[in-house]
Amino acid sequence: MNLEKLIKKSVQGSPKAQKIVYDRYIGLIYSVVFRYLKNETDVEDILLQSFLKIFQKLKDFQFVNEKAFVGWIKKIAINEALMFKRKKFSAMYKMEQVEEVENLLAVSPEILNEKELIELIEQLPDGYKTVFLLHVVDGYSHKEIGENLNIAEGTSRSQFFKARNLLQKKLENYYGTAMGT
Amino acid sequence: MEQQWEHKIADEYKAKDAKTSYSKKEELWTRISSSMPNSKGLAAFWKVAAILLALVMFGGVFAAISVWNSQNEELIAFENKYEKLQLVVDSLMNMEPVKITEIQVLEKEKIIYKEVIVIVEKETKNGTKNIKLTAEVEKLNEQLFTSKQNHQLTKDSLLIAHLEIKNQKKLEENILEEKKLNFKLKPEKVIDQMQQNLQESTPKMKLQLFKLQDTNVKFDTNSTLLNK
Repeated sequence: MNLEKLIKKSVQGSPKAQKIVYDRYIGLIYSVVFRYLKNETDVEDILLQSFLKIFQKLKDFQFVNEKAFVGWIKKIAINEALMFKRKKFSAMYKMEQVEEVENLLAVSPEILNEKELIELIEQLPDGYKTVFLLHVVDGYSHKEIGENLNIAEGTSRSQFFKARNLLQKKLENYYGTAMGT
Repeated sequence: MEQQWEHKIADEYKAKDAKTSYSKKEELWTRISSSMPNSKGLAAFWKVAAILLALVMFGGVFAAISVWNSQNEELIAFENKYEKLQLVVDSLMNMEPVKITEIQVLEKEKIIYKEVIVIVEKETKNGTKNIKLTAEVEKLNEQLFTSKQNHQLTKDSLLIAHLEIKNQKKLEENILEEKKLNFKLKPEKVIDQMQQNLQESTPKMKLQLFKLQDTNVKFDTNSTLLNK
């Protein structure tokens, strides 16, 4: 069934249509939420709240295309996850003194495979990782990150650079070991 | 360079998002559907309808099964009965006939003789006339028989009456004879004056007599001067 029709029927309260929408996007939303919350119980609660909010606000959504719809539901899920984390974020977030590394080892991105890259990112501290993923993967501006995490825009920028530097170091270490340096 | 890394990282995560599936999605859906306000009433309605339908179906199935069972039992009972009857019939067919002598007492019929005029039918030209005549003759015979019976009855009754009259006459004659034999003149009783005086012995009677004499007895021939 056409997504626009599904959305219309879901707005009318058709449980069947709502189930189809849910089945289609649950995997995606789960992956997104899991990026920010590693605890399964917390993830399940956020998924529940996210979908309840999605179906509640669906009547206000103006359908353009599927990409826009996906972006919209992802944003709702991420906001729910970040609201849950907001209390902890300041504690998680450490003002680590990370040296800004210049003249980084030019490692080509094609070398690493998906799994290795993601593993390296997962190794980052939670605060840095959150900002990094929000900006790089989910396309949030530093202003939006600041609003969602209740931090200043500048703090979001600095955290992002720090995350990147740390990632680069990890890459150097990884390839340094691999290359025997 | 850094941007290349960022693009790669974004692409990798998007690819991972597209491939990811959630294992507990059905459980989560039940939680979501029960939490949503619009679907509650509808779901409850369908649940109730489903339960009622299930009950009706179950009742129907149960009734059908019980009817089927009862009919089966009846069939088995009929088959057993049929077999038993078949055995009885077979045994009866195989039995030898037993001769039983019965003694019957017949009453002798009373022979009543009747005078009947019998006309022997002769083959005549007028066949029907003969038949009519015989019927008439039979009728006459019957009338003769009944009249004879009546005559006999009358005769008997007259005889009886005659006997009764005779008896009555005899009886009256006997009574008269008895009366003659037993008739006697009664002796007159003469009461003398002396006897009358002797009778008046008691003083009471005397008084009474005197009284009578005193009261209006004028023509009393028994009175004398002495008695006054």
